[in-house]
Amino acid sequence: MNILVPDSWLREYLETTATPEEIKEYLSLCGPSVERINKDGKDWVYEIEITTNRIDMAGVYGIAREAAAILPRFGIKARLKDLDVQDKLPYTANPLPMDIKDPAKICNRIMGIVLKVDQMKTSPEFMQKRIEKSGVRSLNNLVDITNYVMLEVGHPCHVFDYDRVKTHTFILRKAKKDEPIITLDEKKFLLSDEDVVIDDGTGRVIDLPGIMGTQNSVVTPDTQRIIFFIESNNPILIRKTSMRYGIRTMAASINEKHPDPQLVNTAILRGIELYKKYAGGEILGNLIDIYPNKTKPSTILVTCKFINDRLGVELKSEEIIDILRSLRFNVSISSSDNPQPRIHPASAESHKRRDNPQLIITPPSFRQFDIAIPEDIVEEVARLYGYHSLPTRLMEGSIPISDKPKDIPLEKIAKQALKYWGFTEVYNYSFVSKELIIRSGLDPKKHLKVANPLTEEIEYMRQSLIPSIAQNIAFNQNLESKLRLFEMANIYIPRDSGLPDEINILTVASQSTFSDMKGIAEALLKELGIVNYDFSPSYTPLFHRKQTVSIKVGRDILGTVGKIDPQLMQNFSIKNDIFVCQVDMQKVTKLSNPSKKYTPIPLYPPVREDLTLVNTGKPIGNILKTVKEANHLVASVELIDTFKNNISLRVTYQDRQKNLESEEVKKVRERILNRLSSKLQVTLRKN
Amino acid sequence: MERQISILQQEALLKFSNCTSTAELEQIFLQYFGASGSFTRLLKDFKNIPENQRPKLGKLANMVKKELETAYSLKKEKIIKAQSEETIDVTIPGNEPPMGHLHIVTQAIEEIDRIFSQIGFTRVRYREIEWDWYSFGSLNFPPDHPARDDFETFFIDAAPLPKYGRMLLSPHTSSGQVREMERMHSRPPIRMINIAKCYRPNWDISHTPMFHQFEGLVVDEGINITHLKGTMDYFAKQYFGPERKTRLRPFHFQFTEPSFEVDITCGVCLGKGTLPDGQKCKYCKEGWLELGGSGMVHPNVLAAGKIDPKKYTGFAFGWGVERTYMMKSGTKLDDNRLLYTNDIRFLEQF
Repeated sequence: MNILVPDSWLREYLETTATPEEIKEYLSLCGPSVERINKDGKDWVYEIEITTNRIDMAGVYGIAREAAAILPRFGIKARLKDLDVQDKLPYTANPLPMDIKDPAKICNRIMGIVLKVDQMKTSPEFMQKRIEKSGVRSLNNLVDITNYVMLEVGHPCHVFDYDRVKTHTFILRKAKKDEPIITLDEKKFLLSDEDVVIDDGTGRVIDLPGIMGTQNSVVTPDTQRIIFFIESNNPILIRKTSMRYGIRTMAASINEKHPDPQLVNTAILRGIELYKKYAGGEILGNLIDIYPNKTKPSTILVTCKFINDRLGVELKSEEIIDILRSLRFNVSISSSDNPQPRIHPASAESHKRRDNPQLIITPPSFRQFDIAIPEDIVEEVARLYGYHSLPTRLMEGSIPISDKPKDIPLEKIAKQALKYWGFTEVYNYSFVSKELIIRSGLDPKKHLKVANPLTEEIEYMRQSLIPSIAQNIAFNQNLESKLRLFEMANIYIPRDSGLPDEINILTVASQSTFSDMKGIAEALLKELGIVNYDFSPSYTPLFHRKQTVSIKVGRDILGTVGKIDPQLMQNFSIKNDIFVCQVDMQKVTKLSNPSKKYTPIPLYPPVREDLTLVNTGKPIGNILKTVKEANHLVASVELIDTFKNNISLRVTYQDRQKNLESEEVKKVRERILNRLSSKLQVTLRKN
Repeated sequence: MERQISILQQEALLKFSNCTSTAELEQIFLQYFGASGSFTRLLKDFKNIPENQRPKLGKLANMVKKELETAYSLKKEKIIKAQSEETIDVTIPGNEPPMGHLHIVTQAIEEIDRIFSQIGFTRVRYREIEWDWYSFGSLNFPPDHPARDDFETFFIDAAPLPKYGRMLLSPHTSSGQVREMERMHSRPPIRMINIAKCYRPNWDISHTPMFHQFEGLVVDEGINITHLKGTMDYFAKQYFGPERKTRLRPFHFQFTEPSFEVDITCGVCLGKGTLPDGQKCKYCKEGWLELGGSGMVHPNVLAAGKIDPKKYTGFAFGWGVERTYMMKSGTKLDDNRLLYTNDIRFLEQF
């Protein structure tokens, strides 16, 4: 949370020569971050970020206390002035009736007192200005005092009209389900049975404690007597209630972070003092203090070496102790730590040992929930010594040797290749909507569901990248008619028990031709070190039934190449056909063999010739295979052209042992033609 | 014979003079003077002519050969000279090879990975759908911590496990810390850089429900704050430039103690907080930009990874990939959601 602290108010408790600029800079380096300072008339206002663990700083006094410890580290004089509150209240012999009960021990501590006040009026100018600079609206003196105390001391408090709570009884209890309340900003809420309320003994709810007051008990211009009331709440319940109804008051923001119950006492005394001074306050009852389980800071034992080892510098024990004491920690040196007798008091070794005393440290009450382990002490010493004062160095230790993940380098290769082949990478959300799943012809029930999606668009975890890419194409098709896109991302396949399978999939899509996409697949597999694969016709969901092949290595299906199902295209209103190559990167990683084998460069020249054949409707793949396998002298065969039923092949003959004679080539060619005609009825075209 | 020489001479000279390329010239020359060239063959016939005529014819043949050779050289020079004078319209646009685009998240990840791999970090990637234990429990989050609220973390509609808690979408790459300790069999040294997708229920102009983080984790004997500072500084200088400075500010995270926020000097106002025209820099907070969180690994986290916190210490940091990239390039997107809208007019800019 961010708080606003006027410089003039801060200096009421902080005696220092530091300029606002210096305060901003040095607090940020060693304590709370001062995000901005803004000029306000002659004053300055600090905007300070308070982390959840340091709720003790959420007030003017807390910041002054922290600054008083930090500024001297930069050679600037600073002294904390005490928050003087009179802690001996006069005893009231005939108090007005007031009964506070917390039978279920919901609160850590509750304090309250009944006061007679003058008629409500505006607050004195200084008070109005201070609370307004701190971001709180000034209303009237009775309410402003509660806010003033909160902003100054750091603990929220509340004021009730004593006479509007006729029973003079406060009972802390859990709300009933759907119990109605109207908060003092006139909003109606139906409560849950996890909320805490104050009941006046008749079942009537008179407060949503720690968060916001209610309409029926708040002070009015007719108020003559008040109950000034502070409770230290269960922070978890406060947070839940505050978030449940979206009532994010400053009181709730502080109370949900567990402020020190000790502070309740300081706040109530400070408040009484202010009511006396600015509202004609007179005490009409005795101070009620229900504090069943006092909590205390724990004592921590830590050696100076432990601290220095983590800092990476050697601080003297005196400096460590000084720092901790400046933060109001109680520090003593463990007596068992001075071994007697010292043998060589002068030697450096023994000096080192001597300067490694074990410290017995007790944090102040206001840090009791934040400081619990030796590492917390390290943080206090380190930040006050200054992170900026620590040297900067890289690790000297050995570099770990482990099986590095093999998938990441292959992914980089694939992405780079695709980029240079003209594909543009997309990143879609891992979530999809039910509508998109259904539009793609898939079953939402088989998908993992997000229990708390923000919107319907992000309700399910996708099982295919194709619907997302189809959406991308539909979105962009009016900008470019031949899109070339790819995405690499996980799909999420639920399992019967345990975490789902997360499978990294590469999906490449292009509005070109089947051969184009198949070529991409072939080149990609080559780049990824996949050699012995086959394409075999198959049915894959979302793909065209007749224009799709699987990429297989042995029994493993590595992926799919094909046209997208025309129905899907229709459902996405996509104009030009999409061809997709989809690869399971995990399987690729498993099967990839990136090492290349050397074969000597042939010493003798190859012979190339082009053959034009008349096809009888046989798959060209089979023709090529037949040619290639006809004889060992056929080094390669390429398809160079097709025209009607004519296909032109370029055959390369190569003998690694000697020069090929034309007679030998002729024999091989005859063998090829014989095989083609007997197996496939494919013959040489006659000119 | 004399006539034959003369015919060849005339013929060759004519061919030379009509020729337009050096390759063709070479070809013609070989027609006459190659191993089976016509002039070469003619000279082979010398043995058939009467001995008394040989000196005269020999002299003639040599003279013609020299003349043709000279003509050949001159012609060659001429052709090359002519080629040197040839002009084209150099303003014609080039034929670009097909050029796609990697998403800026990929580009950023690759650069981050490269920088950390130079100082011995191993890039890993852990689960996106995780158990509460890895995302919170093992990271020292108490059972009622607000990070588990519905508006802080996405949960999966699945049965929780007694040991590991609820199934969720990992809200940070820190979920990989204990996973990495387990992968390393709880035996430091560990130097991990985990880059992965993360999810949180925020969706507005500056938040997307899916984003990327990179998480560093170093565990070894004797690791202290100076090493964290050194690593942060090394990365900042490598990634953003040697003139940039970093600082640590105290902060609070459950899984580190001490915890820091890492700031870097603003690249726009160069850390001054004000621009040359005296205006306040809008890009940063008084000269500093927040890079992200870091801290010394909390002993409870090491213990959760079965590493002895008395023997080993470590540091960790986890920053947003998108944010870090934006801070470098000054590509201040007016809307972060653009990153995942996949409009090619956006994608093709990078």
